[in-house]
Formats: sequence, C-alpha cells, structure tokens
Amino acid sequence: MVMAYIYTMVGEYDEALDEFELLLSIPCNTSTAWLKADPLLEPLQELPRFKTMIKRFEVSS
Amino acid sequence: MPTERKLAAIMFTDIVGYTALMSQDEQKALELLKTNRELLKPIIKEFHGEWLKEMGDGSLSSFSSAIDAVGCAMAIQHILRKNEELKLRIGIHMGDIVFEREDVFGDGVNIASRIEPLAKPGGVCVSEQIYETIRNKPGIAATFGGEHTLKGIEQAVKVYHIAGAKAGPRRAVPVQSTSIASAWPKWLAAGLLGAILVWAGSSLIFTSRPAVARLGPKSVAVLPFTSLSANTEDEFFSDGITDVILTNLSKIKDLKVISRTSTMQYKGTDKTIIQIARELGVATILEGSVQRAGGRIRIVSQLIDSRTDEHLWAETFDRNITDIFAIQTEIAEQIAAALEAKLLRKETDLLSQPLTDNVRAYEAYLKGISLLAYGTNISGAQRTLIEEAIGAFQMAVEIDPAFATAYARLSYAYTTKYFYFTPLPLTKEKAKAALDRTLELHPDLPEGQLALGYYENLVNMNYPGALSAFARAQASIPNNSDIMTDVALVQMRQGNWDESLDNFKKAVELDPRSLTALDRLATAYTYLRQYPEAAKILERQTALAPSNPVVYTKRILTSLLADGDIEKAKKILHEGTEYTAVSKIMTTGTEYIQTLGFWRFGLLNGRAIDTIKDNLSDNPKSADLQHYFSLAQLHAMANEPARSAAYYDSALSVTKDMVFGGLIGSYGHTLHGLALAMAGEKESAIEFGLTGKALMPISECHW
Repeated sequence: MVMAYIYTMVGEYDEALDEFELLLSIPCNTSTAWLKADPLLEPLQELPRFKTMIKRFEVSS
Repeated sequence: MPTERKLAAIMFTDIVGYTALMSQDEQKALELLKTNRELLKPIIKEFHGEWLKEMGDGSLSSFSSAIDAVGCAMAIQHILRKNEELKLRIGIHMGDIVFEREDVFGDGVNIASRIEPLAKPGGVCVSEQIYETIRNKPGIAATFGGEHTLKGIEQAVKVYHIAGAKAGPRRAVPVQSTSIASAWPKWLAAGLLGAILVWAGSSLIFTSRPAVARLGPKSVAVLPFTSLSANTEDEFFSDGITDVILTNLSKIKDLKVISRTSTMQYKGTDKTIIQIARELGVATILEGSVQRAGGRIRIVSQLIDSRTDEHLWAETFDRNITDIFAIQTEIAEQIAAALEAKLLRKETDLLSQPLTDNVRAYEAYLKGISLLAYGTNISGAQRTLIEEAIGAFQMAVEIDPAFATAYARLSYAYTTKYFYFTPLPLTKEKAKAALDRTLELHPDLPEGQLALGYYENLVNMNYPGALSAFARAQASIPNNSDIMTDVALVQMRQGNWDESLDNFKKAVELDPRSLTALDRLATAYTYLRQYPEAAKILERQTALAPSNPVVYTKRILTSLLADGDIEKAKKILHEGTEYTAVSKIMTTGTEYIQTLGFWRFGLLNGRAIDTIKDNLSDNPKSADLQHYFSLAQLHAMANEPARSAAYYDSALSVTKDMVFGGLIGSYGHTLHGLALAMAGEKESAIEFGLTGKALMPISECHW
C-alpha cells in the first residue's frame, strides 16, 4: 500500500496505478471510495486510467 | 395491597411531541411508545431501579439512590442522543412515595412529574433535594435552572439541569471534562456501558441479548484476584496468580472459561457478580484475594453461581508460600468438582505438574506474565514492557534452569520483540534458543506449543507450522478465544480469509467483551470490504471502551473506506472528542495509511495545525513520526512549502534512525521510503519502498 503512495508522490503514476489495481483485486485496507477521496492521491484522480480502474472495481464490487 | 410508604428518588420521563404525533399518525405513536418502554425498562433495571407504571406517554420509576436515578437518566439520554424520533424529557425528585392498591402516588410523584416539563428535549432536570446529593460527586455537573412555582405545590421549587446529558447550558458549570466516560465516576460510566450493551446488544452482532449462562452451566469467568498485600508492588503477584488459575481451568475440556482479555477489564470494577456474569454469558464467577506477608500466603477464593448469587464453593488457603503451586492446582480441581466437570487423566496430570519448585523463580515468572500476556495487542508504547518482561522471564530461568513454562514465555517475548521492533538475527536466535529449551524440557507443554506457534508465524512466516503448533496447544487448552484469534490471524496472513473470519467470529462469540477479539474481527471485515459488518463491531467496541482513541480512528478509517464521506467521518470524530483527545484519534493506529494521520481529509475545518501544536505542548513526547508527517502535510496544504519541508526533514531524520539504527525491518524501510518521497528524493524513496515491500511481500503475508 505504501509503495503506491510513494509512487504517487514521486510522480510515477503508472506504477502507482499498477499497485492500486493489485490492492483493489485482493482483500486489503483500501477501496475505490477511499482512493477517490484521499487528497494525497489528487495527482492520480483526474487520470483516465484511474477513472477506468475505479469504474471497473466499482462494478465488480 | 396494604399502604406502603417509602423515601425514594423518583424519575419521571415524557416523550417530546407525543400528543402532536398521536394526532398525525396514531400507529407510529403507539410504536414509539413501545420502543420507549423496551428501551427504558432494562436500563432502569441496570441502575437498580424499579419501573412503576406508565401514564400515557410518561413513565414513572423509583430508585433507592439519587445517584442511580441520575445515572440512569443520563444513560437514557446518552443512548437516545442520536435518535431523531424518540426524544425524552426527564425529571427527578427525591421524596415520599406511597404504594396503595397497586398504584403509586404522593408528593414525590407529583413534584417529579411537574419538574419533568422544565427539562429541555434530551435533558434531565432535577429538584434541589437530588442536586444536594449529587453536587459533590465527581464528574456530575449541574446548572441552576431557577426557582419555579409548580401546579399543586405550595412552595416554589429550585431546579437544576444535569450537564453531560445534552441538557441545559453545559458550560455554565466548570467541570474537568464534558466527556461522560472520563468525567463520570467509574461506576456510573460502567452503568452507562452496561445500559448501552443491554439496549444495543440485540441490534449489534448478536441475535439476542447475552443471556445468563449463554455458555452453559459449566462456564466460568475468573475475575482478577485482589491484592491485599501492603506492598503495592505485589499487584503483579495477584495478577499473575489469576492468570495461572485461569490457564489451569482452561486446560479442563469440560469447562468453558472466559479468556483473560475479557476478564481483566473487570479489575477494580464496582459491578455486581450478576451484572458481570450476564455480560460475559457465564453461569459462574470465580473471585478472590491474595495476601502475602513474609513467607506466608493467604488466598481466599469463592465460586459464585450467578443465577442464584449463592456460593458453590469457597475456600481459604493459609499456607507457606512454597505451597503456592499446590494451592493453584487445588483451586482448579475443586472448581472442576464443584461444577461437576469431568477431569480427564491427562488433565489431572497436566494440572498436578508444578511449573517450578522455586518460589523466587515463580515470582519472577508471575511478574513477567503480568507484563506480557500471550496474544497481547502490541503497540509502540509496549516496547519497554517487552524488555521488562524479557528481564523477568530471564531471571526466572536463571534461578530455575528447568522452568519450561518460563522458557516458553521468554521465547514469546523475544518473538514479539523481533516482529514488532527489532528484527535482528540476535533477537531471533534468542527466541529460538528459549523455544528449543522449553520443547526439550517438556515437549507437550501447551504453553511451549503456543510459543512455537508464535515463533513460526511471526519469525519464520511458516504458517502451516504455526497452525499445527496452535492446534496442539488447543488440544490441551480448548475453548480459548485468544488461541482462536491467533489461529485466525495466521489464516489471515495466509490469505485464507473465510476460515479466518469464521475463527474470529467464534472467538467473539466465546468472549463477547474481548476488545482484542472484536478488534481483529473488525479488521478482517475491513480487509474483506464488508464495511457495514466492520462498523457494527466497532460500535460495540465503542460501547465497551468509549475513551479508547483507536476505536474512533478505526471507525473513521472504516467509514472513509466505505463511502469516502468526509461529513460522516467528521461526525465520528466529533463523537470521539467527547471522550478523548482529538489529536489522539487523528494520529493513533498502526496501519501505514493511519501513520499519515487523517489530517489531509480536513476533518477539523482548518483547526488542525493548532490542535497538533496544543497536543505537543501538553505531551512533548508526541513529537514523533506521525507528528512530523502530519504537520508537513498540513503546511503543504496551507501553501507554506518552507515549513512543510522542515517537518519532512524532521520525519526523515526519524525514519533514518529507524533504518540505519538497524532497529526496524520492512516497516522502517517502507516509512523511510515514504518520508523520502515526501521530501522529494525520488530515487531513494523508490529504493527504500521496494526494499520494505520485498521484506514483507504480499505473497508471503496477505495482511
């Protein structure tokens, strides 16, 4: 989880999204609602890949 | 029925807006009346009161104590504080009450019913007679509500509004704290909690209110034995003896024994045996005291049947201290006999083996287990305790090198130190050496199998090995919720979520008041994204431990995970600040994501920086990693990059010490990576983050 935050903070957004995709696919202490709400993840939140990922996991949940 | 007259505290309640509701929606009004009755009756009983009668939407109850009556009223209003539909006004007066032909009347009743309308909705109004009784009671505050002429009463009556029950102007009378749990006297807060549990039990995780002897007639809870020794340092001795007696009883398969984590919370309680038994769902309670003087020891112990409040067994052991081992065995055997529990041959053998024959070694051991029990929830603050426990167990085995149980506990202490604080080869070696010694001395010792389970789980990450060891321990110590929780934790780390959840649920069912079991069950639900279930468990934890900041931290976390709704999270924070410091709620917790604090979500409406600084001036030791992370984020959000950078530097120096001091493994590397990322050092941040991740990969630990 922290690795995803580290990648976000240093601007490696694709790697960050790879991490978050994995975390959303397993039991974990994160959720689509959290990722959309967390101000630390603002740089990701407008990215098309982020939006697609959120939509995909919201549908599957 | 003959006329009977008595002096009593009389509580009169009335539903706000009932008449209007009756004219609009009669069905709904009648349902509300039923709800009101069902809510009030058990709470009144909890505070030793007597429900007398209903008068329309009003109710009348009597109490032999003014404090009980006020406590009951405060509990009712506290429980109803979030109920939008059912709002009550409550009036209380101390006076004469007359019972005649199954009815009650008298001046006391009249005044109570006239005072009640003076209370605000959700408030409690009391007469001067009540106020005089409660005015000096710590934690209860009241404000003068004026002098009133009441219908049918000759003299004007002075009334007071109780603060803390959402009544009158709360701040008018200075009190230490407006928190109910922290400001109320302990017994009153305990009564409130009992009341909440009585009322809320059915709507939380259980399908019905815990009934007496839910666990059957052969169930027992061992309350912490009281230390009667002059030396206050002997406290550990009585705690340790309680632990040994409890463990001994747990070894008898035919008995259901409540775990230590549930019973220790009753240390120093004012609750009655019946209340405790009802809360724990047991048929019997074992309580006692320990007194030590010179070479003599006196243990007084009694087993009480909670259904009849009668003694099933009582004994005073007045002997030489060297007999302590025999006494503890005798207690277990005699209780088994009193409960007509079958004692298997191997159980008798296990019980009759003294842990050691050296009293000094035993004392050191008792001190160790009073500091660090198996399955304890570890937090950063416990590092010193673990070191002290290691010292105590080490001393025990030095005095008696054949003390197998002490070696088992020593190994567990090192394992805990290794996993939570110092994953260095030397710590691991010490955990292993103590483990080898205990297994060599006594291969079948259940405590040794537990130590092996912890070692395999936390040091070797050998999960099947850990489960086998725990299963062997469970064969000797069945029905122990702490071991069930340990097994579930291993299954969680393995990624066997369904099995894990089942075991967490079993542990909670067996020990409904174990904060550890509840905490772990809530965590499992959160990881499985079953947020409503997690929230229910956390609500139950709140009722049990309202001043524990972690409960609110977890509720905020779960709420944000569920729907990201900041306003909902703010409400939880607001609720928590009635009981504990806001800064603690915002910065407590061991999850990485909590280490950053919740400041960034703007839960404090711009007052965050001041709150952190206030906290620091009150608690200088709180200048830790979370403190620096929090301030760095907040100054960044406030467009103050220079200040933000300064705090990131401070955070960085803390994580640097962690990593380069060799103190912490995966956790330290990951946090150092985070601090570097925040400080803008991209390459190093990724490097340390990946190192931390490699030390604890998801494939090896799903949690």
